[in-house]
Amino acid sequence: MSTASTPIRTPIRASALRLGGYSVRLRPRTALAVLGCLLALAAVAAWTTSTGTFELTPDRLWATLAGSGTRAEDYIVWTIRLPRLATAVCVGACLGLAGAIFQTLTRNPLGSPDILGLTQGASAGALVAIVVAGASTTVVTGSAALGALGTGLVISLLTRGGDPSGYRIVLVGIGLAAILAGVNGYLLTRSDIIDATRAVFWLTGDLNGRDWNQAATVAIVLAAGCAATVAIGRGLDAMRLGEATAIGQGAKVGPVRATALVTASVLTAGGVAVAGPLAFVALAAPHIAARLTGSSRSLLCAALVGALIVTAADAAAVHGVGDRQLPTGVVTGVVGGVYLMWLLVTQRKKGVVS
Amino acid sequence: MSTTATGPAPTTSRRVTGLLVLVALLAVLAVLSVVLGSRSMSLPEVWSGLTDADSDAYPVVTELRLPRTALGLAAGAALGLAGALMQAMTRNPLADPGLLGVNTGAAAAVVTAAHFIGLSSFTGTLVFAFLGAAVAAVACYLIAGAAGATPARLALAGAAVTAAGYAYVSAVQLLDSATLEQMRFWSVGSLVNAHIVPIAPVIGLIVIAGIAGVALAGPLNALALGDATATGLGVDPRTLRVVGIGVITVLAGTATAACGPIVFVGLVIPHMVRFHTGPDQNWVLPYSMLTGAAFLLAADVIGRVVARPSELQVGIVCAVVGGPFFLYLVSRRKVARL
Repeated sequence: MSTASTPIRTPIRASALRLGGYSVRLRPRTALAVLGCLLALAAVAAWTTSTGTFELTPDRLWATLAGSGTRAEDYIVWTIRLPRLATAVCVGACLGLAGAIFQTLTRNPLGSPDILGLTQGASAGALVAIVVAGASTTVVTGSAALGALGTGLVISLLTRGGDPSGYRIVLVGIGLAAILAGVNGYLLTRSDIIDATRAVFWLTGDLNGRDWNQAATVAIVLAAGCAATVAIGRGLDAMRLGEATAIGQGAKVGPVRATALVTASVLTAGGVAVAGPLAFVALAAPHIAARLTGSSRSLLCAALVGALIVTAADAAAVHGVGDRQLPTGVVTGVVGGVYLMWLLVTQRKKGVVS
Repeated sequence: MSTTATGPAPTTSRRVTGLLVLVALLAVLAVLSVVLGSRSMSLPEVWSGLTDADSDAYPVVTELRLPRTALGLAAGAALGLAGALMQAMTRNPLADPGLLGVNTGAAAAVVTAAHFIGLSSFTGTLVFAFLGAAVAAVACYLIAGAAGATPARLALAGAAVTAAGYAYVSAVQLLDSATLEQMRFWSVGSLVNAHIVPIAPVIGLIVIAGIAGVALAGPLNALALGDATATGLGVDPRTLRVVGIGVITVLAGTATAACGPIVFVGLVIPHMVRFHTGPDQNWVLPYSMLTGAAFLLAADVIGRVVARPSELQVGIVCAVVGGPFFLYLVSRRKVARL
């Protein structure tokens, strides 16, 4: 497969931060991109916590955050807006990171949980809970997480063995995605219209009414995922050049691949279970990050872009069209899709990154 | 295990035999598709239904089952071929005809027609779906950079258009449950409306685009070596991409408009085919076409038989029956790459 990028790059200025036997390479442009993402994230966060049906001036917002708000302000900010914001940030980061790991692992620009079946697995879990059992929201969340994890497990079982190529993950993934999409379609056509509406709503993905418990759950998943990613970072980086080269560089390809698959599955499961399959975040975030940093290697930036997409989309969703709020998933597709299109169009001449 | 297809080299005689087997299989499936259904008929009954305009079986056979069989064959062939072309052109195994935005474009057009215009006639929906598919494909091509489009950019642009279009479709569905009711059956993929599909133009379009598609085998083989090598071999990758996108849009757009999005055939059939033929497009393309047709027809027959007197939509059967078989192939065989 030759979808790999053509690295036509200007000379890169980079320095390294060394600590004993370890060193981290610092690229000014990556650092700038990360900083830019953080600033944008902070701006969106400030905007989304202070606007809505209950407006807060910047000084009132600050006072409320500092703990001296009125009861109404405390309730609005600490019980409604902040948990939702925290969930959005963590879910977005989970999905962005998972997408970046999958794209590295499969060495395919389309390799994302949406296309490799994990999202469909989560959806199948949720649909079974909604359509067959008519279950509560908590059960739906758990069932969706199980669905995604189960799919990840099946992928890793079916790709175990001698062949170290990401190609097999791709094939197994699309096979599973197809089966699960069929199952989902079946469940959707067999349900009555009330269940179907609820199911389609879940399938779109939404962040409305998330509380601190849910935010904490995703945050824990994200933290674990980040730790695992740091641990396998070097191996994963080596695998961009192909399995053979990675082995030559001394990376333990088998364990790295297995760990990466598990990590990305857990991240997807955490994100999708809480927020539903927010369209396109996992696929778009790494590409947008690659175009911002000029290198497809920054997993951190991919996670931040993911967080930014979901947060911005959620802010837009709350404001909605006219007086109707939209589900977050509708807006992530538009935000991610349109932004990626814009990047593709404007960066046409530069021939950067896949 | 080696990373390329080794195993017994696909010899010409093995491939020709396979092709003959496929044609025979198609004939058998076509007969089954006419004979089996919610009302089973014996072969003599079917025969009288075909020849005798006064028999009881005549309306069932000529007005329901024959069009349905014809549409199944045509749509399956179109989707299989479009999938193989798409994967060859983008050089990406994850590409399916839907990646050009064809499915979402069609869905967006159908939703728009149903929600804003209140269109409910089937032929009108079909025309809208086809136009939507075509518009989406052109948009993908332009966003990917028109003449400067590379396979990876094309795939990304397709994914972006699909995401944005899908968001629009689900927004309208959520705001209007009548549209959802209409869409959730269309979006599974089914041949059940075959009797009201204007069958002659559909088949005509598919045949013309199919011939053009199979003729691209040689240039696509050159393109498999990369754009630069292809240019050296006298193939202009840009022209090839424009022609290819046109062919894929007509094939997949027609099939999707008539039956709803059936993702499985376009995505998975070419992979199944490559296990047998190897990567030579001269074989992959006709094989994908025939296997797609056989597969869709078989899935439709199964869907009619297992859930009598009702039926399962063909898209569901394709995925649920074909998926495990595909996984079995992937886990057993050595993988034939693009």
